[in-house]
Amino acid sequence: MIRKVLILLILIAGCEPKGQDFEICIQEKESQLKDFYLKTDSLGFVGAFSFTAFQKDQMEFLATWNEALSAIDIYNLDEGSIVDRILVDDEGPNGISNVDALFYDSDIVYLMDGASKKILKVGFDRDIQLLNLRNVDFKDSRNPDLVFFSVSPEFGSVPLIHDHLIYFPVGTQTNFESVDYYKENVLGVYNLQEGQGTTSFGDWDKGYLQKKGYFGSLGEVSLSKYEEGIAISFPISPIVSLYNWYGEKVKDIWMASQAFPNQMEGLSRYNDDLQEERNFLIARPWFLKTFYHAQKKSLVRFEKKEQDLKRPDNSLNSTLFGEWYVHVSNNETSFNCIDQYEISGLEHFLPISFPFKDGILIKKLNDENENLLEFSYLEIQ
Amino acid sequence: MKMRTYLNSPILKFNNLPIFFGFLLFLLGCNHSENYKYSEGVFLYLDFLGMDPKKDQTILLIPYEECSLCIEPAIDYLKVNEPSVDLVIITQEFHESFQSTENILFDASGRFKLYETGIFAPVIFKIENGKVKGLFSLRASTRMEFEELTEGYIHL
Repeated sequence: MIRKVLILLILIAGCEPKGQDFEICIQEKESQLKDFYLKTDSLGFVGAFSFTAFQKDQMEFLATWNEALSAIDIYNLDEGSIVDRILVDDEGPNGISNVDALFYDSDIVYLMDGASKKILKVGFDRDIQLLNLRNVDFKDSRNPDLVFFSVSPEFGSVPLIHDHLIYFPVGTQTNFESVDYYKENVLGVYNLQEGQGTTSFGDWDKGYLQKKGYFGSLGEVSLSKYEEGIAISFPISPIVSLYNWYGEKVKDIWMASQAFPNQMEGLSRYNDDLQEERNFLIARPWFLKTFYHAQKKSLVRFEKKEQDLKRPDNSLNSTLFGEWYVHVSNNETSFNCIDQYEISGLEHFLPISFPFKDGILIKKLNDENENLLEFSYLEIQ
Repeated sequence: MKMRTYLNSPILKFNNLPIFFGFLLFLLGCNHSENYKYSEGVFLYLDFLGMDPKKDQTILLIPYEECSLCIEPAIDYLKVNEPSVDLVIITQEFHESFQSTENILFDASGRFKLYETGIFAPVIFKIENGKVKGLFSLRASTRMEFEELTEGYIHL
């Protein structure tokens, strides 16, 4: 009798919904890809992750960091060609030696060096100003000296700017394999006008706080603007969290394929086996980045599909060049519905992707012509 | 006084440093001496390079793309030393004036990372009786440090 009761209890427990409930509707869409070319000169380069796409005077532009020349290359996407190149000193009072990320606001391109906590404001009028953000206090429990800017553009871990406020991905200088690393907020806010930090917000996904919560390079936060604030997501979680501009949480949305696990299990903490980390990245599904398409009022997110670890010849599959979903979630459905496209990472370099017109541009892998940068244009229907 | 006596003991004299480091490596490497977890990937890679994967030999492998910072001491070491190993593999074409290129194999194919070798930094290992043995990671910050680790292993 007791055994029957126990079995009944186990069955009832098993029927409980896992995690939060989300209203989800996923609609599969056919991926229609068109070729897109960007004319450059022989010195132009879009190989790095440091770029930002923006609109100005109802035209669309792309600013990229040209490391070889220490310059900002500006492309007019509507014309499909390079239109300006702003040379920047790599040292001195108005110079920057390393650029991790770019962002744009009101005719100024901001270059950020996360390691040295410096931002170089480069105006289109060539006015240049260096901001030193050392010892910025985000008014949280952390010692400002122990906060670092964890910029990692390939995962969408980039600074954003809105109304004189810069939103940074921040980390704490402690062992990132430990649970402690994931207890503090993930975003810091800096007020450009006041020249000081104002607040921090955003929780790490609960997956990072598990006993088996170490995910190697998948421990990055992805930031994206949306109409009313900032969207935060993580490579291991199907959830995108929406916050308003003041750091108050608005809601969580599901932005993943139906098959994506509610809760990913990670690797053992203090894991020295880098091969296990690589194998994890190859075989398991994860998210590259989330970004916002202002014109379509949609969040866009890349999800890697699960794949076999090895090919038939026993060589390893690739971490990045497998098969991917592109999820598009529209504000008009309160982000409850997802349009799902499929795309092959074999032909594309997904980290270099950004909104353009009614779709997104994704860098192709092959550049056969040095004066032409090749992209695929994926139309969002 | 005791400390001074200890430091002057013959085993710690400079000339014996390779033996000292070798002994340390031996102690540290014990756990790796048998059944290296990723042997299959190492053999597959050697096979891809056209080498006999089961031939008894000592190999110094420098995975260029995996750790650009930690290969620098290894490259500096090869510029002035000719290590007593059977084969040196560098997973990149390299135009440096090495002390000797006779037993260096440059693999510019970029395929190294396609093999499950568990190798992410310069390593030295032996193949004995068809098994990978004593695989040791040579993570060093200077050429001297790399030399001590490598020579220590070789003279073991």
